[in-house]
Amino acid sequence: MNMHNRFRFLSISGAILWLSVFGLFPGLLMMGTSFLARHEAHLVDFRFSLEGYRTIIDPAFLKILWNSLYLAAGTTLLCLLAAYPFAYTLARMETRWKKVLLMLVMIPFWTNSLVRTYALVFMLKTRGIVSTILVWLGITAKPVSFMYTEAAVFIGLTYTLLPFMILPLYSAVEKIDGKMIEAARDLGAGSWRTFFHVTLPLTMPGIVAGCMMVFLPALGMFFVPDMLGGGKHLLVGNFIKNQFLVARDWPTGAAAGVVLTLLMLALIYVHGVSKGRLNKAGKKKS
Amino acid sequence: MTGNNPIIRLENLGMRFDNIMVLEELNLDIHNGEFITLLGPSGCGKTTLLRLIAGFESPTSGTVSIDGRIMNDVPPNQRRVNTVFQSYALFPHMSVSNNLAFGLRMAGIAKRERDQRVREALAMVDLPDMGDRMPANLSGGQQQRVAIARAVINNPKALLLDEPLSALDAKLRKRMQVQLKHLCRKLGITFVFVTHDQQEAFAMSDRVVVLDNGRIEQVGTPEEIYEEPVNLKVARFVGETCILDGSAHHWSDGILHAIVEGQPCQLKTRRSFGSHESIRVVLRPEDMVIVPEDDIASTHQPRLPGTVNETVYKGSTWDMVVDLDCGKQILITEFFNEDEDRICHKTGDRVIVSWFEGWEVVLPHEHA
Repeated sequence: MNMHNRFRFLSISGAILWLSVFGLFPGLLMMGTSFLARHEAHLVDFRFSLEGYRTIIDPAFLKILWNSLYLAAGTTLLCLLAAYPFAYTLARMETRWKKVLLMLVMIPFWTNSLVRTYALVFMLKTRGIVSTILVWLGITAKPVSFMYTEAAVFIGLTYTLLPFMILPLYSAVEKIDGKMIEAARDLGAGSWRTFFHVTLPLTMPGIVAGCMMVFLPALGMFFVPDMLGGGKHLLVGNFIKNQFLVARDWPTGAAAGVVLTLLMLALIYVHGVSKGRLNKAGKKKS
Repeated sequence: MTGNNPIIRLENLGMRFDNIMVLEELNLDIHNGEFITLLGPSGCGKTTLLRLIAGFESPTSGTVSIDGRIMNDVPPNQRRVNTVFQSYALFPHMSVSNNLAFGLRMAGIAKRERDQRVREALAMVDLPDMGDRMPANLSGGQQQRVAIARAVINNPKALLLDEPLSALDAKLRKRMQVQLKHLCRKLGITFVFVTHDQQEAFAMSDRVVVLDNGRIEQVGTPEEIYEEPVNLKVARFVGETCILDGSAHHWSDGILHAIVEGQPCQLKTRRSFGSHESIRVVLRPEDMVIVPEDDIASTHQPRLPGTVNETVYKGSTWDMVVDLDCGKQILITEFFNEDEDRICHKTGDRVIVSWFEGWEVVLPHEHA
């Protein structure tokens, strides 16, 4: 084994070891736990049971799952609508502000998202900043709270996940050859038709990637609805957390975890297939 | 059509980017149906000029008119001109047919007519079965033809071509030059072609516009540009030159008596020069000739002695680099003449150089 191969072996095996210990093994543990029975005193009762799954095939859980999908999809849509114009403008910018703005998008990545959610609480609570400004402007007479509403949950999720939408969109827009836009204009398309016929299809890979990167984390981001939604707007993540820590029903929590994981894997698979097709079309050119 | 009016008229056109002058005081009429080439070194403003016609840039001063209408404030999608981009700019997410149909769709033409015209356009560029292919699955030459078809299909007033052949290999480029020229004749559409390749410009164009530093240096047929360049810049840009210094003596009736590199001689020129004015004589390698030492026939021609530095056999011609005794180095191209027993010169041979009578271009001395 020469140096190059040894380096390759070490780097790859290191990553595989890490992922096995902290990803695959807990995943398998969770899967195993989901097929066990509940025990009042211990964590689980070691006998085969489908009780966990039976508990979650329940209108209450399905409602939570539906609600999660709704919140995640809504967040994804909000992120897309907010991020696209921003990413487009940013990618087409030619001034030094481009770097500054890109930096501002990146900075939140370096801060704990829990801390950032607390910051949002200070914005949205009864005597928070938004309320104070509204009173000062005379729009409302009394201080208002935005806390514990669905809107607050959307605000929190969108705020937390927005950079994950901006960055893939930014790179997709930046990759577009400016001549494509000019060609569309040259062939008689106005600004809107140029956008719908050329810009939008060409940035589709970025849109899909961004949506995946927002939608999937949004499903499991339990602390945001907890803190901003007051626990009224449960996500699958909240349900799982509660099963483990509050109800102490580990098999049910594990079963919900398995369902969520499978759902995400299915979405990633669909994404992979569509991306593979797009890449194939793009690669033959070069 | 509007009679004899030009299809495109540029008046006092000026263009600045960040206060850097790109085009200045430019006037040009482009006639209907002609193949006109904007020729110049990179950075001379030729692409900017094309983009001004297409509408991608707005001029800082002056006007662009197409078909008699001032177009300064008309966006590119409302101008009846179409561009063939250097990089082709085919839409990668659309099939060849959809690329071709794009302009017709934007113009609101019904699907049946669209399909019909796409079929015709594909046949015209010799790609009848390629409609369902994606651009990525075409060769460079095929993409090129699709780009031309996509522009031509809209039946524009003028076709603007921005160095469309520069990405093709030499052989394919030669073939496309001929095809483009034929296409221009057949369709009767005005072609405005941008290139930095002088041979390409000469091979295709009815007229050539030589641009340098944002100014038009000369407009004329390829023959005029090559044989009668108006200044040294143009002469140097279009092909090899051999430039000799001299001074005028007196001019009368198209004949200038002058001293060129120390040799008295008579030069043919329509320009008049004052006495003792410094002049430059511009010659092409194929104008030059080696005269036998005992030749006394051409008494009006100067006889410049020199030494053969190098000889290059090129198949149809025999090139020779000669160091003249006056210090200049010149290139001589001699075409083979089968009837003539020519003495082949070798490196180091002493020769006497002259040129064919009347083939010279005389220009005033300028610091170019």
